[in-house]
Amino acid sequence: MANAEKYLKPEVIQRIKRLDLRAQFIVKGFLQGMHASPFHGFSVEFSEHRKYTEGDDPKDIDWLVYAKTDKYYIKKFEAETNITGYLVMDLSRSMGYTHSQDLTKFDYGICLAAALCYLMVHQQDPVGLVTFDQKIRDSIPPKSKRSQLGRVLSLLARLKPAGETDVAASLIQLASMLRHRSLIMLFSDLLGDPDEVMQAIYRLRHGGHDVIVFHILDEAEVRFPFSGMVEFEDPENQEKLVIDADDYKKSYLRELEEFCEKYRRECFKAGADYLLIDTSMQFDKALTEYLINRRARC
Amino acid sequence: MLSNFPTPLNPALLGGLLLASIPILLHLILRQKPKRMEFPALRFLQKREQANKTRLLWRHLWLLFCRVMVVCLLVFALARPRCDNAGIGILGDREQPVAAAMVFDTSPRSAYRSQNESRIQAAQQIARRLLEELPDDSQAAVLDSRLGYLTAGQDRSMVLLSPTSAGDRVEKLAPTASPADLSVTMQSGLQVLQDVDEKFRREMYVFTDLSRSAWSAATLRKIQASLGQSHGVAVHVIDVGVEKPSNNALEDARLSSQVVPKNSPVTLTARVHREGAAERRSIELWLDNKQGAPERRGAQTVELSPDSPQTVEFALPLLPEGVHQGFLKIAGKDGLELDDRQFFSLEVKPAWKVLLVSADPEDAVYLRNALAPRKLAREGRARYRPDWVPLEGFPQRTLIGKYAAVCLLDPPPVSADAWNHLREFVEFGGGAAIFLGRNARRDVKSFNTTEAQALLPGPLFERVARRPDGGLYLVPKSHDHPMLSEFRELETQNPWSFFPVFRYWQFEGDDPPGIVIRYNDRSPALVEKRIGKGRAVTMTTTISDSPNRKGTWNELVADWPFVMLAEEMMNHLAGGSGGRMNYSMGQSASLSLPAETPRTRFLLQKPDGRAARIHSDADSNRLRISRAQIPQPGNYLAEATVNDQAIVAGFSVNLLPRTTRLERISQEEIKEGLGESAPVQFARGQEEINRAVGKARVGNEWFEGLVLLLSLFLAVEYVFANRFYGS
Repeated sequence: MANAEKYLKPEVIQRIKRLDLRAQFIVKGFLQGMHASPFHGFSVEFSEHRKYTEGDDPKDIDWLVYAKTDKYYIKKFEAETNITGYLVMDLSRSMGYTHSQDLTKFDYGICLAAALCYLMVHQQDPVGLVTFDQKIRDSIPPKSKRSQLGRVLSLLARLKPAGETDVAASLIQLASMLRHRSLIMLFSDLLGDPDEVMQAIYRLRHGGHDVIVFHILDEAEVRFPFSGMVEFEDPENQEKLVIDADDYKKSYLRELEEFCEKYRRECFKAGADYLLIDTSMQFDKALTEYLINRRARC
Repeated sequence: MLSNFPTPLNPALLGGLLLASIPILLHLILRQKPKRMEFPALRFLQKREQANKTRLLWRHLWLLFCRVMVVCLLVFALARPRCDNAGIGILGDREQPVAAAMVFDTSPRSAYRSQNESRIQAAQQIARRLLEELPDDSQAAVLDSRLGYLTAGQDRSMVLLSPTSAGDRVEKLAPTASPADLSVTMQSGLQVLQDVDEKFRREMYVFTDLSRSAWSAATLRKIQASLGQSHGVAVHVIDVGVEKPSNNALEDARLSSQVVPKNSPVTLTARVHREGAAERRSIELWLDNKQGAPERRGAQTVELSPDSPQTVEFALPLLPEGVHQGFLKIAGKDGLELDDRQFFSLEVKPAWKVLLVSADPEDAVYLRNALAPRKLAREGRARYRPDWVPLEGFPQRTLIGKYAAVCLLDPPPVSADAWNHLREFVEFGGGAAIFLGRNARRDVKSFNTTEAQALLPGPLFERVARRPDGGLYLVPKSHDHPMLSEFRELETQNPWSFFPVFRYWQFEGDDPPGIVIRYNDRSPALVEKRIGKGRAVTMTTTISDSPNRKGTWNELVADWPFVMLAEEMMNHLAGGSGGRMNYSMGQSASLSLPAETPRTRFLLQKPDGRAARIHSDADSNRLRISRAQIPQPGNYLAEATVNDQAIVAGFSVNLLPRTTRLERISQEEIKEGLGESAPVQFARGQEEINRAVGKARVGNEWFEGLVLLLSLFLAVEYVFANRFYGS
């Protein structure tokens, strides 16, 4: 297990260059870690029996049938329902920020999205990808084919964070695009007006969609490890501010906590799931959140 | 010239203050930029932006101020500013030649030894180093406590010498038994410095043990006055004393009588003073034997404590006729040996001849029995040898040299010749006692003649005063008079109140001088009058009446007080109490010689074994020894031969107690006594002395304070800079 868990650490994943392998490592590491978990067999349901052949897992043998027929039959499962998932990726310049971590917020989001895509495709859930900055830039319609994984990962690998963003407008635009109830997985640092963003989430929820908000922040944004005189520059609008970081740390952390708490509170009200993660955290937290949501819908 | 404003030792370096502009320029031109970095969550920081700007501005100004101060303080420190707190002259030039007066307290205390060196040796060591370190062309005068003791002409110490010659003089310093007051020595030092050339810096070093007796309030006042008149002299008081001295001292040895008739008991008392922890010591009595070698004749052990001085008392054995000398000694050793002995001399003379003169031999019975009780007279142990003569024809021939005292008992009117003879006798050193009584009533006027009044204290009132009720008695004025000193122990009660006086003579006009005893109605009872070298006493009531006699004048002769008074009166009149043989250092001695001794050359034997020749005074039968011939405490003996007859006179000299008291005075008390503005600095130990002398020559340097301030500003600057620009 310890061997598997190491693949959930950002610093380990960072060493793997190929995105598909990253996703594979994350999911396999996660699933191995989940081996004895209550999620075993969570997403599929018995559909038919077939004769046991050599190489099948003995645990799948239906011993009741064996008792009746004295023959080995294997239980065959399939998904009860399919969930259409949308990976919604924020392309803002701020997502490209990191202070001391090797993975930027954007890289972290990409890895997370790729892992989820991998997991969903392997569960035969249709999954699509939407990227946005001030509006939706690219989208891949959801499909459950194995080839979908390649398309999604290919696009994710090409994405670059740049420019300003408008999360609320993009989500509203997305809501208007969706025809069926879907699971919207938003990957963003949400550094915009929270009221407008929440309006857009309400709109998605109103459309019957499930929403998981992966609020990704850099470790430096969460801990504010600066000291002395620092001139900060906003990467999106190039605003500058010279401060004595030691003086500001306390008030900054308080402001940030209020900000996150507002999202948490509003998401709870809206029925959306909110997960605050920073780039130093393992990926399993995000995947677990997805799976809890998935199970709730089965 | 005298200023409290700081003066830089290196004024040229003050130009470096221009460097203070560098931080300002750097601040204005090359302002250091804070570290730049992207930070997307800037919105959470922007709320406090305005307050932040103001604070930043202040911090920048503080940092700038710190840096400017660092530069300025560095420049100031290197320029070595200093100020002259004492106001003692031009500062800054260490090489300016110095005129130094080195004043040494060489009182007997300076012989006190601690840690294997005496105070004077400690002072010499410091003085040598100070002399070596004097700048080129400096001069120094060496003054010690002999000053004032020597006459101005003799005093060769009041001149400035080269440091080498001054060093030689320092080497020769020794304790002085008769020290001058410290104020005198210091004043002489200031006088030496007063006339020196302007090119010299004037400094005075006072080497002292800071003993309270050397720095008495009177001395401090005199020093303060001297310093007030001398400007521009830096005075360094160098403490060479011991913080907690331990010493025993014998002081104030007193004989009950210095010249006594044969067979007289003599007691010797002395005070033992202790400084330091309490201890037990033995006090020994030593007397010279016939060969002049001291022999131990007694010892007492006393508990010595600094809080309560002890008094020891020795009864001397009955001594044969002649001059006797000896000493009291504290057994064992202590830090100061000079004060462990007290010397004494006394002379035992043959029983004094006293002439009793009265109209009737019965009138002299009481006095004769008092002076020479029959039993003692028979055994030859009486102190006096009284002779009686009738008043008629008195005196038939001169009395001088034949009697020690003459007593007129209830005299009737006597001739003018008789009064003149008696006056002449007294003028040459004899003693006369006149006891007025009823016989004087015959012709009171004869007692008021010029001849009689030469002896009597005043004219007699015509009538005899009467107090038949018995309420009148004698009241001694005080017990300080030698005639009454034996009554001192009875001071709480008056023994005379039991012996009433019924009749007595009074003097006309105001009370005469010299009253020794009064009656309780304030009338004079016993009056003393000095005439020439002798004394005459007059008692205003008789001592010839029996208390049982009808119409008696008094009951004085009834009991022991009369005997005691009669003995002491004769002792006083015979010159025993006036024959002084014991002196303190600094006094001249005057010894009485046998009558009609011609001018004779005496050989004076001094305690150190040296001898000096001195001549007696032919006119006064006295041998005078000046204080210059008494250089040290001890027993002195003067011998001569006149007409094949040896004449021996002796005397003893002791240290004054104040010259050996080691109790210390604090610097604060001296400063208080001299006043805050006095240019006096105290130092103890070589390091303190160097600092004090350096401070006086260079001034009170601010370097240390400036460096401290500089460090403070550097630290503040470091903290600020790190917070501003720290990575």
